Amino acid sequence: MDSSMISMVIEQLLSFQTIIALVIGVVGGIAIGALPGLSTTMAIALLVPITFSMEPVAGLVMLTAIYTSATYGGSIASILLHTPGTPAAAATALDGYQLTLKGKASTAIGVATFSSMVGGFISGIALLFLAPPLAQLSLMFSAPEYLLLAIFGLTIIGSLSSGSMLKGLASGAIGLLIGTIGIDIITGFPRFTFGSMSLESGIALIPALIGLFSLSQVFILIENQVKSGKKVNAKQASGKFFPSKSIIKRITPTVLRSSGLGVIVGIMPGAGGDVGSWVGYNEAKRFSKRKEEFGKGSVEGVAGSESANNAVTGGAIIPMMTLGIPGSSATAVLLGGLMIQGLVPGSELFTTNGHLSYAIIIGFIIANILMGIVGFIGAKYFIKVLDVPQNLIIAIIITICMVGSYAINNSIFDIWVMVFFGIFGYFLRKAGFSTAPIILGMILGPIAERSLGQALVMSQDNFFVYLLSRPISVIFIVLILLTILTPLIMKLIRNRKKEAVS
Amino acid sequence: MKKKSLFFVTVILLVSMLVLAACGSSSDDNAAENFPDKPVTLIVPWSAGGGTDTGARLLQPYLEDELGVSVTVVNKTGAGGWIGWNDLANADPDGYTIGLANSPHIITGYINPTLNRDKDLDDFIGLGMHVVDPDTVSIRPDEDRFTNLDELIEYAQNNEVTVTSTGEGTDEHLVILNLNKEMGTNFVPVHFDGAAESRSSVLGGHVDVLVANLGEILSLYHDGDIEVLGVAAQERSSFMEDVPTLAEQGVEVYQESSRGFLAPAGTDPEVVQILEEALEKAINNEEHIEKMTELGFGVRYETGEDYMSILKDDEQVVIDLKELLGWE
Amino acid sequence: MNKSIHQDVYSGIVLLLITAIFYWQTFDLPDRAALFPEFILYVLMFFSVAIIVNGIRKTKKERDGEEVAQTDDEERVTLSKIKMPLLMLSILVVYLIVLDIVGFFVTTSLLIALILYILKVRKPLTYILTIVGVGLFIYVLFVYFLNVNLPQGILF
Repeated sequence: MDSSMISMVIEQLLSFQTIIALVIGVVGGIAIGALPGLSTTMAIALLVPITFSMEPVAGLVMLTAIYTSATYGGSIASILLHTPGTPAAAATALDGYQLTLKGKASTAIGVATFSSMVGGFISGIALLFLAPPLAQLSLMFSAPEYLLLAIFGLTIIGSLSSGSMLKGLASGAIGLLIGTIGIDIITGFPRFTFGSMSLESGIALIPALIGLFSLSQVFILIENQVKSGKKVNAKQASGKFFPSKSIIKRITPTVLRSSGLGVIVGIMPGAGGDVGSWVGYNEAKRFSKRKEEFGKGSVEGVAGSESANNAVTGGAIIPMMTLGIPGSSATAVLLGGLMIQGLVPGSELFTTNGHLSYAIIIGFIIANILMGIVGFIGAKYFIKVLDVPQNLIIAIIITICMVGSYAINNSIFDIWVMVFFGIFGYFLRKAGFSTAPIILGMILGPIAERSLGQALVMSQDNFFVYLLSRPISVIFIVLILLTILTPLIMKLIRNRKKEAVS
Repeated sequence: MKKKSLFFVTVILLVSMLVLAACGSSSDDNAAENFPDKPVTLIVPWSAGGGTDTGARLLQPYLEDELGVSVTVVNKTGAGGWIGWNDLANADPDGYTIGLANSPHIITGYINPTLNRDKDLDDFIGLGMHVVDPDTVSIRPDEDRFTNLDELIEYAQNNEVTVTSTGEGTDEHLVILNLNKEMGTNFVPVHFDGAAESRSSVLGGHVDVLVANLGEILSLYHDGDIEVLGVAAQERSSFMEDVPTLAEQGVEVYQESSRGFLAPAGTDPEVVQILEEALEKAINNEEHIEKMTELGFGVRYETGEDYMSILKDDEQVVIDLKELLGWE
Repeated sequence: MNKSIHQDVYSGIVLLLITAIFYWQTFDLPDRAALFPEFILYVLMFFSVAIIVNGIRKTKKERDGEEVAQTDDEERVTLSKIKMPLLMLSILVVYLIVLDIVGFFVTTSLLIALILYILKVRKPLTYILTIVGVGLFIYVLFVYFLNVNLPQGILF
C-alpha cells in the first residue's frame, strides 16, 4: 500500500455515504443480532439488493458492519434473558445469564462488549495484514481436519456438564442423534423422518436452540412466577459498564487466545461462529485459574466465547476475499454483495481494486470499534429490559420466539419444532440434564459424520496412516489426547500423592 | 374487577380484529382479463442469499415493472427444494403463486424412490427459463499425474481418482456417474456440503478433481488457481471462451444446472401467457443481464414450453442413471 | 420413611424408550446410512442404563436418609410445579393450530392477552400497550423491513 493508495482509501472512508452506512450497519446489526431467529445471514441476504445502488465501499462496509455487530448483538439477549440471539451466542448464555442472576448484568454486558470489540478488531487486523498466509492455511483444512475438529469440539461436553458428567454426555449423545435426522448427504437416504417431508432437511438449528434455551427458560420463569421467586432488576445490576482494570487484567489472556482461535475457525469453510464460540469458551476454561466459576457466572467464560465469535467474522472474510471461498454462511452471502459491485475475489482485489478492498477492510475494523462504543453507550438502555415486569417479559419472549422460529424458513413447522424443544428442554432441565451439550451435538454431529465419510473416501486405503500423514491432523490428535488424558493422569498423580501421604 | 378487565380484553380484541380485517380485505374473484391485480408471490425453494435467491431478487424489480404489481420473494426451504415445490404444486392455480425450479434437483427429488414424492413434472407448467450454469471439470495447475482431459481419463481408467460433488443425485454427482459410464473411469465422488468446501479441498490438494458449476469457479479460473479442462455443455461458455467443451474432446457428457419459472398445473392459459410474456421481457432486460453476468450467472431465456422440454430431457438423463444411483 | 423412587430412574427409562424407537427406525435404512446413528444409539443405550442404575443407587441413598446432590435447575417434578408450564404448552399448541387458519396478527394478539391474563396482569392499559407495541414492532421489523411473509389467514 503506497501513499497514493492510502489517500484514496481515506477518501473512500470519509464519504458521507460510507459513514452513514457504517452507523446504520452497526446499530441495525446489534438490533438484529439481539433478536432470536433473525440470523446474521438472513439480514445480510436481504440487504444485499439494497447495496446494489450504493457506492461499493459504503455498501460493503454496511454489510460487514452488520456481520460483526449482529454477532455481538446476540450476546445481549443471551446474557440478560437466557435467549441467545444467534447460535454463536449460545455459549455466552451459560455464564452470562448466571452473572445476571447474581445482579452482575452490567459486568457481563461490559465484558461481552469489550471482548467482542477486541475479537473483531484483532480479526480485522489479521484480515488487513495476514490475509494471504491465512488463506493458504485455510486450504490445509479438509475433511480429516473437520472430523478431528468436531471430535475435539465434542470433548467440550465433558467440561460443560458441571453437575452430572453422565447426564452431560447423554445430552451430547441426544444432540448427535438429533443431528442425524434428515436426508443423509452421502447416501441420499432419509433417516428418522417418520414420513415427514419437513424433517428431510433435518431439525433446523435455530428453532431448536430457541426452544432449548429461551422457551424452556420461559417455562421455568412461569413456574417461578406463581411462587414469585427470584427476580433481578437493573437497579441492583447497575454499575460501571466498562470493565474495571482488574477484570480487564483477568480476561486479557482469554480474549487474546480466543480471538486467535476464532480467526483460525473463521478461515475454515466448514465451521463458523457457532463452532468458534464453543472452542473459545472451552479453551478459556482449560487455561483458567478459576475453573470452578465456569457455569456459575465466570467473566472469563463470557470473554472466551464472545471474543472468539467476533474473531470468526474477520477470519471468515479472509478466504472469501482472497480465494472467493466463503468461510461461513454469512460470508457466502457477502460474496454475492462483493461480486455484484464488479469486485471479483482474488489477487486483483488487492491490486487493481486495492483502494476499494483496503477501504472495505479498514471500514470493517472501524465498524468493530464503533460497535464497542455503541455497545458501551447502549448498555444502560439494554439493561432496562430487566426493569420490565417479568410477566410482560414472558409474553414478549414467547411472541418473539414464535416469529423468530418462523422467519428463518417461513415455516410453521419450525415453530412446532421450537415448541417441542421448549418443553423437551424444560423437562431435561428439571431432570438435571443440561441443554448446551444438545446444541453442541447438533452442530458438530453432522460435521463429524460427513467428514468421516469424506475422509474415508479420500484416504483410499489406510485411514489412520492417512490421518498421521497430515500435519494439522496430527496436531488435533495430540490436542484431543491431551484433553481426554490430562484429567485422568492428574487424578492418578493425586491418588499417588494421597497414598504416599498416608 | 376481574369481570371488568375481561370485558376490556374482549373489546380490545374485537376492535383489533375488525381493524385488521378491514386492512386485509381483498377481492378474490379475479378473471384472467384483469390479471394481475394483486401482488404475485414467487416461491424460492432455497434460503436467502443462495444463488437461486440472488437471481430471483435481481430479477424481481424488472418483473415488477413488467407485471405492474409487486412481486414478493418467499423463501421456502427444506427437503432439497421440495418443500417449496410441494407448496407450489398445491397452491391455487390462479397465477398469483409462481416458483423457481432447479434442475436436476427437482427431478432427482421425485425419481429417488426412497423419498416417496407424489408429485412430478406434470404437476407444473413451465413459464420460462432464467439461468443455465454448466458443470465444469478442473484440476490444480501443479497437478503432475495428468495435465489435460485425455490424460485424466486415461489415468482414471487405471486408478481411483477422487472428485468433488455436493451430494447424492446432484448435477456434480451425475457428471461423475456419466463419466464412469461413458469412459469406464474410476472416479469416486466425495460429497461436500457445498461448493465452498469443494473448491478449497481441491485447491488444498485433498481431492484430485473439481467438478462444479461454471459460475462457482469463475474467480479461481481468472486468477489461474485452477485449470479448467472442459465444460459439460453443448457449446463453449462466453465466460471462458478458451475452454473447450467435453464433447469437443471426445467425452460425450452434458450436464447443466438450470433455473426457470414454474406455475402449478391447471393455471388458466391466458394467465400463463401474461406471466410468460412478462418474464421474457424481464429476463431479456439488458440491465438485468448485465448484473447477472457480473455475478457469473449465464442468463438464457427459453419459452415456457421449451423450458419444459429441457426439463423432460434432464429427467431422461436421471432415469438413465437410475441403476448407477441405486434407485431402482 | 421415604418410599419414592428417584426421578433419574424414570429419566433413564424414557431415554431408553426413545433410543428403542429410533433403533427400530434404523432397520429400514441401508447399512451405509445406518452406521453412524446406530453407533450413537449404542452409546445412548449405555448412558440410559447407567442413568437408571445411578438412579436406583440414589433411591437407596435417599431411603437411607442421605442427601443426594442436585444440579442447577434439577428439581423433583411434581404435578403442581409443572401445572403452569403444561397449561402454557397447551395454549401454544392451540395457538399454532389456529395460526394458519386465522392469520398471524389476530392470533398473536389473542395469545399475548391470554398469557398476560394467566400471569395475573389486570391493568387494561398494559394489555393495549403490550399488544399494540409487540404487534407494531413485529410488523415494522419483520414485515416492513425484512419482508417476512407471516401466515395470513382469513383475517389479515
